[in-house]
Amino acid sequence: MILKVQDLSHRYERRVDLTLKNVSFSVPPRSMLGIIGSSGSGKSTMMRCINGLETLNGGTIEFQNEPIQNLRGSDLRRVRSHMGMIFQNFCLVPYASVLTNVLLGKTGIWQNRFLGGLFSKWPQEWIQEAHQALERVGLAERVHDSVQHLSGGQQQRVAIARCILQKPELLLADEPVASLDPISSRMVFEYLVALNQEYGMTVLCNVHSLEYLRTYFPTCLALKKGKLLYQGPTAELSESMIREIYET
Amino acid sequence: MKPDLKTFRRGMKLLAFRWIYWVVQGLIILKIWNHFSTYWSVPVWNTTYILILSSIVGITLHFTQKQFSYFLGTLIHVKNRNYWKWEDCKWEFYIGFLNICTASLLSLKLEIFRIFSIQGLNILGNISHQLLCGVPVVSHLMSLGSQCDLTPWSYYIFTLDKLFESIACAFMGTLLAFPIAFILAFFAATNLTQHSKALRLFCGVLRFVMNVVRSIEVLVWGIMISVWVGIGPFAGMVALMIHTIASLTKQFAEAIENIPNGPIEALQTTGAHPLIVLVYGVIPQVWISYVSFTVYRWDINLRMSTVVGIVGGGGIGGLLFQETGMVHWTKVGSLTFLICIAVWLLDTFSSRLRRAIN
Ligand SMILES: Nc1ncnc2c1ncn2[C@@H]1O[C@H](COP(=O)(O)OP(=O)(O)OP(=O)(O)O)[C@@H](O)[C@H]1O
Ligand SMILES: [Mg+2]
Repeated sequence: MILKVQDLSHRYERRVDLTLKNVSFSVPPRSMLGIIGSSGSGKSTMMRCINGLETLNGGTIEFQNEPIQNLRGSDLRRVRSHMGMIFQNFCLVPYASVLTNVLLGKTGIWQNRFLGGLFSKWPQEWIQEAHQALERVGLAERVHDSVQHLSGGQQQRVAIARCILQKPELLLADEPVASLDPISSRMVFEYLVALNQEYGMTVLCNVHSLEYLRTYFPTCLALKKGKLLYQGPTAELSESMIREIYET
Repeated sequence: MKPDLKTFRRGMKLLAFRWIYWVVQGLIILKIWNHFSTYWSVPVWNTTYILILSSIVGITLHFTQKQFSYFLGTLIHVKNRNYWKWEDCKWEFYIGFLNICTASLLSLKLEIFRIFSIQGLNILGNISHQLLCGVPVVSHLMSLGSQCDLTPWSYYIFTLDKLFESIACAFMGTLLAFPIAFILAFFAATNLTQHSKALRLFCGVLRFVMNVVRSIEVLVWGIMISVWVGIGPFAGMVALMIHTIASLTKQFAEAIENIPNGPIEALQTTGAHPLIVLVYGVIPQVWISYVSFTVYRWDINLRMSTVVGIVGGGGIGGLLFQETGMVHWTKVGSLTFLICIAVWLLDTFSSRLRRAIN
C-alpha cells in the first residue's frame, strides 16, 4: 500500500463541525483512484491533509509505510518531494516563464542545496528534461512565454509538465478540470492516465463528473459530509448509491 | 454536555471588551458634562460614580443580549454559536459614535468669530507682504523692491547647497531603509509566519515595535538622534531612515499578506526549501508594489527632510528655522519658494517614475 489513511479527522479553526470524520482507506501502488462527493463534502480538505497543508485533529496517514502526520521541516519537505499536487486554479508561479514553472518541480530534490535554485542556476539536463516534458504536453513552442498569457487548459498542462519533472510516486489532483472546457478536460485526464501508465504514479483525483469518473478511474472513493461512504471499483457503483452520495 | 473552555474564554473576552468600551464612553460623557457645568451647575458627579455606572450599563447589556450564550458555553454546550454580530451591537456603536463626536467638537472650542478679527488679519497681511517680497519673480513683477529689501542672488547660491543637503538626506534615508525593511517584512507578514510558534511570536513583537517606532513622529526622532550623533544632516538622515524602515516594513508586510496563497502552496507541495518558496512564490508577486511604495516614501521623506531640519537635522529646514527666529520674513519667503520649487520638481519626477513602473 502506497498510502494508508486511518481514522483521519479534521476540523477547520473557528468551525464547530468536523470537515472529515474518521476516514479510513488505503491505496495500492500504481492505481488510479477517483474521489467523488457533493460540494463541501471535504474532498479538497482530504487532499490538503494528505499533503500536510492542513494539520490533522486525529488519525494517521502512512505514505510508503512511514507515518507522516506529524512531520515538520526538512522531513516534511522530503516526503512532499515524493508527492505531487495539481490544483483546480492551476496555482502556477506568476510573472515567471513556462520553463521556470516546469523546472520548479525539481526544487524538492534541492532541499539542502537550494542556493543554485535561488539564482536560477538550473542543471543543463534538467532544462533538457523540461523541454521534453513540455513537448509531451504539447507546449513546446510556448516555453519562454509568461504563464499569465496561457489559457486555462494550457496552464493546467504546465502544471502536469511540472509533475513529470517532479516524478512523484503519488499525485494528488484537486479538481484539475473544474474550470476547463470538455476538450481540455479530456486532454488533462488523458495526461493523468499517461502519468499513471508511463511513470507508474499513483493518481488520486477529485472529480465532479461521473462520466469522467467512469471513463478514467477504475476505482473510486465517495465522501459525504466528511464521512467515507464507498470505496471500491467504479463499475460496481450502483444507482442508489450514487443517489445517496449526492442527495442533500 | 461537556464544558467548552474555548467558548467560555471568548465570552469573557467579549465581556471585558464591552466593559472597557462603556467605561471609556462614561468618561467621555463626564467630559461633556464638565464642559456644561460652568453654565449649568450639577450635583457631584465624580469619576468613581461614572465608572461604576458605566460598568453596570456594560455588564447589563452583555448579559441581556445574545452574547450571554458565550458565557453559558461552560454550562451547556451551545450548538449554533454565532460570533460577533453587527446587529447585536449596532446601537451601542451609534451611541458611542455620537458621544465621541460631541466631545470632540466641544474640546476644539470652536471660536468662529476669531476668523473675522481685524487685528489678526492686519498682522497676517503684513507678514504675507514681506514673504511675497522674498519670491524673486513675483516681487520684481509687482515692483515691491521699493518697499522692502529683496533677497540678493548670492543668498540663493548659498541655499542651493543646503537644499541639496536636504534632498540627499531624504534619498539616503530611503535607500538605506529599503533593504532593512525588505528583510523585516518577511518576518512581519502573518501568512509567512503562521507555521511555527517562534516565528509567530517574533512576528507579533516585530509588528508591535514597528508600530511604536512609526507612531513616534519624525520630528521627535530628529530630536533624539541629534542628541545622540550631534546636530547636522546625518542626524536628519538617521531619523528619516528609522521612520521609513517602520513604515515600509508595515506596507511591505501588507503587500505580502495580500498575495494569493495558491502559488506558495504549490511550491510547498513540491518539497521546496522555504527560501525557494520566498524567491519564486512571494517576491515576484510583491516587488512592483515594493518599488512603488518606496518611491512614494521617498516623496514623503523629501517633504519631511525640510521639516526635520528644524529640530537639528541640518539642510534647508535648519536655515528656515534660523531665519524665522530672526524675523527675516523676506528670506523666509525666498526659502519657502525654493522648497516649493524643489518639492514640485521631485514630486513630478517621482510620480512619473511610479507611473512608469506600474
Ligand atoms: N479555509 C477554510 N476555513 C474554514 N472552513 C473551510 C475552509 N475551507 C473549506 N472549509 C469548509 O470545509 C468544508 C469542506 O470543504 P472542501 O473544500 O474540502 O469541500 P469539497 O468537497 O472540496 O467541495 P467542492 O467540491 O465544492 O470543492 C466546507 O463546508 C467548507 O465550507
Ligand atoms: Mg474542492
